[in-house]
Amino acid sequence: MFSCRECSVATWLQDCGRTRNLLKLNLEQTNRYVVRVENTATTALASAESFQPDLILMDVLMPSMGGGELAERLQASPTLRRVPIVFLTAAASTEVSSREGRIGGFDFLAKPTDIQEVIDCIEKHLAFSKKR
Amino acid sequence: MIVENSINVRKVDEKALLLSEHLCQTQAILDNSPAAGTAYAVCGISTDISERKRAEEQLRRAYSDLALSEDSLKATMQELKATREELKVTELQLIKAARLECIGTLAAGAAHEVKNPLQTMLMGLHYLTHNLPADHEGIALTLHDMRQAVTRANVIIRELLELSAGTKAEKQTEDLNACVERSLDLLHYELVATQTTVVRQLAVGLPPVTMDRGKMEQVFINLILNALHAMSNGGTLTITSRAVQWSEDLASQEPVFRQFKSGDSLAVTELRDTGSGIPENLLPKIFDPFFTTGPSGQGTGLGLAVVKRIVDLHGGAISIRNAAPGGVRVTLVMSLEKEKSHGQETHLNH
Repeated sequence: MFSCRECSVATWLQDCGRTRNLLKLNLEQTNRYVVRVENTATTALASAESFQPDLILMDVLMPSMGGGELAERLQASPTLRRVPIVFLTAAASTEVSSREGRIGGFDFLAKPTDIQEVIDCIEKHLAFSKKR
Repeated sequence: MIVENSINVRKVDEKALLLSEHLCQTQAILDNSPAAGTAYAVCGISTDISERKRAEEQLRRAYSDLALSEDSLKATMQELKATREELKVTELQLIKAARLECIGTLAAGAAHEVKNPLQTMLMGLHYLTHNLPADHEGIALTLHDMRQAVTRANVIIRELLELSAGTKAEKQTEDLNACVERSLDLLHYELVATQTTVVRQLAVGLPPVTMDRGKMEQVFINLILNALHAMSNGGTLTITSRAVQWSEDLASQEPVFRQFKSGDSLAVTELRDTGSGIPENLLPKIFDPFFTTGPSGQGTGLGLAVVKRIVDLHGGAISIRNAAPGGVRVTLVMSLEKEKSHGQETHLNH
């Protein structure tokens, strides 16, 4: 899962450690994001409370807790409820992603996604947050 | 009473002939001398032929019945033969369906596992490309090729998933022509790159079709891409659409109409390319998964299998044939919305 802060992006969990680290590297080398990575859903909750990210990016399928449940818990937190959540999932195709764009009310990106798509998605949400 | 006589008894006591109630055959000896003039004796063997006649009549009827039975048998044999052929086709379709289902289940199960490593590779390739030292053209090219390979692997996985998602159409009333136009828009870059001329002959006022827009766009995209692959040096792609009423003549001329029935209003979309066509012996296999006539590495061999699956899902029909003077003609038939199709005239928009 990933989260982002304005001019910085923090990243969290994913079910594949290698992808998580590479995503962090790719995002951080743009010098626009600070990324925090967490390995489990339970540590992600506590981490989100302390890090206060601007965006959370996470898998639908994760060990110990499903993405849906984690999203619900994050949104139940008074300090995190306004933080946009984007799912990164292998369960949907790019066509579905571009056509529907949402799973259970949340935006999602279909794996395998290009880093530019991730950046575009983050920027879209940051721009929207600024307007609010 | 039937009497079979071998003589002409001029004058004889009738009682002599009516020896019994049975029919008889009489052979008589006559005195033919002029002086006599009358029969003086009857001598012969009388044979009762009632049974023979009855038997002959029965035999005649039996022959007649047999002839009728033979015709009926021949007709039944023809029907049996046709049923056997149909069964054979159905069996092949069932085998194909089972194979497709197997592929679909396998694909859906494997997709998640394959997409995650593909994601890792894509992220890794981006990182390496971004951090490449200067003057390393060879490495840059290698990374580019690897990226292309990942993209191709993803296309295969995506098409396998589409093949398995054959029962999940979300149908709505849609404009078929608009669907064709959107598919052409999505392939604008490819059409320009291959210098393909597109000729549209889409019927104005074509009644709506109940379909899953996304899936039908996929159908047209796959069909157009196939046409473009067949015309790599440029050519003309002609797309026509029209509304027709089903008729027996139509069904006898084009097998693609045979699954429809009298009273059906149909939308017919045709795509014609000016490519090299498909060898006739390969035509029966073109909808099989992993069958491709393209060069190795170009097509996945799943495009037309996906097309067939989606068309079947919509209760439509598709045929792909070589067209004179060259190239391929694809005919796609779908049912029109019943209430709205009546009385609507369609015009061609050139």
